[in-house]
Amino acid sequence: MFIFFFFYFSFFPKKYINYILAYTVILSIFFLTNKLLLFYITFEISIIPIFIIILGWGNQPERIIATNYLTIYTISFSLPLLLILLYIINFMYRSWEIKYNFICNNIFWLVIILPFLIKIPIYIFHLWLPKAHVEAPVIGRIFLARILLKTGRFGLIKINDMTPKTINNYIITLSLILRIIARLICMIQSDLKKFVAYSRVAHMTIIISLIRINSNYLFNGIIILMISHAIIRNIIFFITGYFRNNSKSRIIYFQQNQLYIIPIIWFTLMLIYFFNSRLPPALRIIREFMIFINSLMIWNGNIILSLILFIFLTYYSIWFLSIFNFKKSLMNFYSWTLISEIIISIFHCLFYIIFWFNLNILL
Amino acid sequence: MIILFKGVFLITINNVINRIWELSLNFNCNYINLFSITVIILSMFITFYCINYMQRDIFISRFCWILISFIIRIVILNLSNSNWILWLGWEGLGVTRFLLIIYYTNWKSNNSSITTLMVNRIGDFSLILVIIPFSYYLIWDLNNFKFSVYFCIILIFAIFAKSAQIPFQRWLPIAIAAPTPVRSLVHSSTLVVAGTVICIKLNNFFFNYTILIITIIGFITSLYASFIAIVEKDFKKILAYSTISQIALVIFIVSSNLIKLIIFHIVNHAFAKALLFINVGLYILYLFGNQERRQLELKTFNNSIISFILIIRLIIICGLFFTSCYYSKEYHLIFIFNQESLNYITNFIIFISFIYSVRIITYILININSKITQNFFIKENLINILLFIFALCSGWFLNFNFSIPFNIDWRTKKIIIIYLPILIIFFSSHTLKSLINLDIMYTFPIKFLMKINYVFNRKIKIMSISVNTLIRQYLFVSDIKIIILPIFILIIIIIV
Repeated sequence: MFIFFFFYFSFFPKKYINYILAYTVILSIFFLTNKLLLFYITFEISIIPIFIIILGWGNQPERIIATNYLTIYTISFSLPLLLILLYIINFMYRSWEIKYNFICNNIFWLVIILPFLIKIPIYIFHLWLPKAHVEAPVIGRIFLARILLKTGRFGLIKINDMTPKTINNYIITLSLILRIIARLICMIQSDLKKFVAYSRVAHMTIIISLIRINSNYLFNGIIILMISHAIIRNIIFFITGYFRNNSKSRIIYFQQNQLYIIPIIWFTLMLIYFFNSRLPPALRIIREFMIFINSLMIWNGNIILSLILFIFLTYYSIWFLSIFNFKKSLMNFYSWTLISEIIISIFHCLFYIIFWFNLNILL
Repeated sequence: MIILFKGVFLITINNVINRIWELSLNFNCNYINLFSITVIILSMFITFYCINYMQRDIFISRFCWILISFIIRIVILNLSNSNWILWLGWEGLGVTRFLLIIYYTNWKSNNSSITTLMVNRIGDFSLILVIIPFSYYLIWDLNNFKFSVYFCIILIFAIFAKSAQIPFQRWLPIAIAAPTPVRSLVHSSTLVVAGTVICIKLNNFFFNYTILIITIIGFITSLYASFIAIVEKDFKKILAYSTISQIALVIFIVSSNLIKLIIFHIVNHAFAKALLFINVGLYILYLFGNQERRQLELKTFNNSIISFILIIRLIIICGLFFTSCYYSKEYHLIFIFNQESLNYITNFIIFISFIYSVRIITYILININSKITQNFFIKENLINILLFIFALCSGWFLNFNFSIPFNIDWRTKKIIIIYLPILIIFFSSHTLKSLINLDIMYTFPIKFLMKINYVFNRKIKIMSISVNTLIRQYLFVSDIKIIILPIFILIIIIIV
């Protein structure tokens, strides 16, 4: 993941790069710790640079509200986590290490899970995400947010073993339903960035179900899928930012001439959206299979839910793409493009495709 | 049943990671490979056509890339040995089709592409449902036949979604919004057959209650499509409906377990339909993009090759003797009559296919005072002729072990069956002269009745403006006599 970091930053010399560099340190600590408190501290500190970036270099005056949402959501739900972690350390094990023998009640489990659920935006706690993404300054910041959200997933994985497994079945169906709702809302959007943000939400809600899988073998696959997801998202955001810059608007229906200017970018976008929705040389298919199988094991009625999901997943991407296919009068249109942007997009694409060939090794 | 479901799924989960991922293609000499060869040949021709047809477009490179990917995918689907590869082909077909249809930027193509993809998705979903328990073994072997009925029903949905049968047939007449090479390659011959390819591969598992569903729905769709084709105004859509009906016939034939015959018919139909679409596309070029049948008629028809090929192509699909589709259709009938089952209903289907093809022929032969003339030569005629040869001769070369069920000796009367097509073609050449400057009729509301009249009674009721009508009329009628005579002779001989 950090490799991706450095690749992206080389193309974006901007003023707030200092803060981006700060992230490398913080997140590296986060991902590699074995100690509970450091885990928590880095988890919290990672909010601060984003806060500053949005406030400082955002474009709209709504960014104040966005930062408000961000902070309140994350901090308010993570305080109980701190309490419980301290409780564990002091009264249970008397050590700084994470142990996986912790048996807790349902309330404790809820409290532990909540901050992570907010970080990966589950549908119920997702309100901060569209606002934060819409007021994003530039593309580089969006990359960071992606990686931040991975912290949530990572935390969930670590904590998964501490939690009871009695409610697994219900959660999976719930997650499917939530995903459908999120997807529906996503389709209605007229704002480019919000569209992408909601799609992110919709993808992530399914993570809970993945983690509750009953078998151990599939667990390794999830991490791979997360990586793949990261790459996809990066490309998408990049291209949306590109479109926005070209057409000076964030409304989807105004992005109409893009295809004719540089068809390569449209093509890559399209490829990626199709990879999102289960085109074979992509890892999405395995993820979908896993979700599918899992949900079916629990309850046979999940077939209907997954059918609905299936159809909506394709529809939103296609709808998005078909809008770019139209043609408007070319009179008032001009665009500035850099070759570097094109190269980045193509590079991302190919990188993603290469994963298919490494499938055997990874699994 | 439900418990068995769960058990299989657990096994699959345990095997997702610990397995050997078999991603191989099957190059054994099965008969399915023949279809892949036809696809490749067809695609070669059509890419040539495409380059000529679209050489002035900006985005031809993208189009060609997508075409090539499509061709690769369908070949993969044919040769697939395991489910993952098949899924790759299957999924990719839907996606590439979407991309091809969306090539033209207008509202109609967008809508049609989206509908095709959504209908396809339902099929994909059902295919996923079916693939998962199969994927334990990585091949299409089913040891436990307790699953088979339910899975086959689900599989049938996938097949119908891909091959445009009754619940999912909406996308094919809409998908004509794609460019002509796409139509000729994709929607006529190769893509809609993907479902039937899977039918062929899993032929052994369908012989339970699912066969009922297959045959019934095949029959219904063919009837539906041919009935609509009789009344349709847009002649591209007529062809689309004719493909639906032919594919439905193929699915109907699945019930008889004649795999080779199915493939045979698919191949014949592929060549024939592709050529049809190309020719019709050329007509549309001449009419500057006009697709209505009422304006199909052309005043000075210098490119009579196209009409000739078109007419004979249509006749081939109906099943002229010893041309390609004859073998597949008539032999099916013969094998069915041997078995004394209800499947002689196919007779009805085949007859109806004759009707709508004759309809197109009549529109071509009959002309109105139209303002459009074409005097330019097109390179596509080469391809037309080559494909024409292919289509004619495919029946002769691909005749596996089927033989005519009665003895032909040059001393018997039945030998006329062999030299009759040559006679017909010879006599039809005489009509080509009459294709020039035929303005017989003026009013087309009563056209249908007029047709019946002059075919059976050779009487025509005319209201026309031009002066030359009466002379031309008599010419035309006299020429038709020449065709009809040998047909009558043949019928008489056969009966006697």
